Amino acid sequence: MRLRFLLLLVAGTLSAAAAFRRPAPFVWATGRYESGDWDSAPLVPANLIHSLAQYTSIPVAARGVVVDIASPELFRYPFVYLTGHLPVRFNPRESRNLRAYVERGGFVFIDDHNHDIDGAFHKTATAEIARIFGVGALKPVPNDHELYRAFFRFPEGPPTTSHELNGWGDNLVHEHLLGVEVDGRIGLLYSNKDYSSEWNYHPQNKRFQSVDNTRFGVNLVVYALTR
Amino acid sequence: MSLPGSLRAALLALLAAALLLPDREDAPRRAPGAVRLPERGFQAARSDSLLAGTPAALVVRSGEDPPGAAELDVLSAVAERSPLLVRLPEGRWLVRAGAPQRPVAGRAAAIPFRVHTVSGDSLWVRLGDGAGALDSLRVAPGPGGVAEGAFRVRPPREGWREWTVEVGGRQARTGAWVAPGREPRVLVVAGPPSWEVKFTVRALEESGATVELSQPLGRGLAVRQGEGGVPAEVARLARFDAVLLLDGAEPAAAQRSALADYVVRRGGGVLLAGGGGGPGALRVTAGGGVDAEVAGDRIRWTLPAEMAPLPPGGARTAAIPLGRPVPGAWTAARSAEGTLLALRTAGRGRVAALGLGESWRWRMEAGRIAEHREFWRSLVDWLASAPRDTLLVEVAEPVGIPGVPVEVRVFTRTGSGEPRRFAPDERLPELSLARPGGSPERLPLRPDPERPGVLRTVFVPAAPGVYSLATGGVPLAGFRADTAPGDAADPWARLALLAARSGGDAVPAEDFGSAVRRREAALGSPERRALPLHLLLLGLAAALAVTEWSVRRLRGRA
Repeated sequence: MRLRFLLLLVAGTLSAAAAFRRPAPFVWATGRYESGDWDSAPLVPANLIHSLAQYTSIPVAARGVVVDIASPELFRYPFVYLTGHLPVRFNPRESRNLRAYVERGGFVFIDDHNHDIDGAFHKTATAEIARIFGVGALKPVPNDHELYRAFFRFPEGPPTTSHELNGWGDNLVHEHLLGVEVDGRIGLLYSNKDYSSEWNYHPQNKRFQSVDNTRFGVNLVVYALTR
Repeated sequence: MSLPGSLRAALLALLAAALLLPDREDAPRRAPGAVRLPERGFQAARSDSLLAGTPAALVVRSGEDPPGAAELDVLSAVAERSPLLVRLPEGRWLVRAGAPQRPVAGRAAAIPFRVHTVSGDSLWVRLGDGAGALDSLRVAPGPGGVAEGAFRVRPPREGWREWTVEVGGRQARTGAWVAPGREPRVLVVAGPPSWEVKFTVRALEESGATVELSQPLGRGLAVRQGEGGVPAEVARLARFDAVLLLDGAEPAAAQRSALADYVVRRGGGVLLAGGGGGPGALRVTAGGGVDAEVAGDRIRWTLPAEMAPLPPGGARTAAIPLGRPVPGAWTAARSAEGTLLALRTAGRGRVAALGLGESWRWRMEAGRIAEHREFWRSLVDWLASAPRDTLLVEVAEPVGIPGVPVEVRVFTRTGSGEPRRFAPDERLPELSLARPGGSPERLPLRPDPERPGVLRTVFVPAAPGVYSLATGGVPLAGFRADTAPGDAADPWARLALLAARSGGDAVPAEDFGSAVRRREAALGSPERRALPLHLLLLGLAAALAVTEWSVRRLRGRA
């Protein structure tokens, strides 16, 4: 009798548990750094926010934020996007924060807006990553990595960009993305495929594309939120 | 005109009920006032009188001589009936270490300690095992020079395990038989992806737990390992040691029913997190459910010792404070905004409701990665460690010296977790003792007349070594006999242990007088006892009878 009462009690009260809090919305954070041109792709956040809202059930803040990566505020946003064309030199506070951010479980996406393997951004950004995380920390991400099936499926690895296919910049189609892993999870993802150019347009113009080229951006956010 | 026949029938029924109803008592009767033992010279005959008749409300031992073996034997029995207040000699340090209760390999367990000092300065308390130092804590003695605390341990494998608690060169040893276990298997069911879910899963995986995550992503896609969602069959749920329902997870009716069965009958653990403790959630709490923001350093933690709090400082978190815990549940964390973590047992299992919504901020913003990980892991360990056995064997002092009798208590429960009552002719469970290098021998058990479901026995360890106590060939408890067992051989330490177990205390000489006065004052204002039901019924019946007699007399019919 008492057992039945307990069962009813627990089952009944589980039903009352439906008043769960909805999680706080995801906020797209663009990182501002002292050197270079951190704001070279200002339309990317709005475009990706639109895609996340369109394709996923993830609650998304309607506007992104710009966060100074030297500031403690960086740690309030466990996903941060960095880009630029110009040479990068992270100052000591920025370097310390980036390292701690990745160690604590944050996800940094750095994209070379130059699409130029020998360009100023690529050479300096990868050198900075080696300085902060150690030589050899930045490694190719295999093209069958779960990143490429976190939401949309990309069986051949990272999607190519029109800049690669048109032969601009270094005239190469880069086979892999690069990443710094912590405990088997990507904590920093580096791309020199120039997604920043590819995604830097107003979301309304998506209707002119046969296939939405921001879909890989959705995978980045879903991966960061689930791994 | 006489009163109706139905009223007479009711009167008779009330009288019969009054005679048949048992005299229910929730607490044993105790004689008023304290009994003081003579200060010098143990008098067995006088002390034996404490073992007969109504137990004393308080037994006070103020003698300065260390207790002898005979006195300890008598006081051990006295401590089972009455609280014992003991005066420690001046300048006396004592260290006591408690045994972890039913530890399981790979799961968090607590080793409580209690230190009696003569100094008011803070002290380093160190925990070690055979391999070296494991942990240390700095504690500040309170009034009376007593400092208490607990170490959290996670024994790696099954079998006998021993620890040493050391303070200022004095040490106490304790030990326990560690039950076989594995890293917990956890099912996490959540709403859409969020940082809280991500970092909770990550913390558990980093701690070694096996996690299956199920959460919707949108467009019919989901992160899923296994079958996804909360299984509606208890057998499938039973593959997991704990189930966490995080932000936005809303089980359907069949799943709720399965979860309830999983907790109550199978001894599983369920956590509702991120506001799942709304009005009446899991009946852990009632009411609550208003959004709030809570500062980490304003949270007051009152966790079981085997659980780890989130550290103070740094982070602020969104929260939906829970309401007041329902009877049987208790608050484990609260702030000015309300209850933030409440725990309870339900049947054979355990349930927790967490009102904190952003524990991940401790990890990301405050950088407290290890503490965040340990908070979640110890919470899962607690949920997953409800005693699922129907027998629990407890050795009063797990480390002792050869030749000194060892008391053993066996706690028996029914399948639903209630104390099991044995009929006089019912066969009692069998308990076997394996001595070092010897074959198992059966220990005779006898029911404790004052505690339903508790059986008792005693054995005398003859030789040094590890002894194991088993039922059905499965070891459930252990004991180590050692010729140099630290404070266990110290009569004052043994006396302090008896006092603590009795509900009394061992108090340094400087504070003994005030402690006795406080206790005696408390005895002078006992709580009012409710009048027993059968007396109420008897009174009512008598009142009705007098009324009828008066009515008849007034009408000239008496």
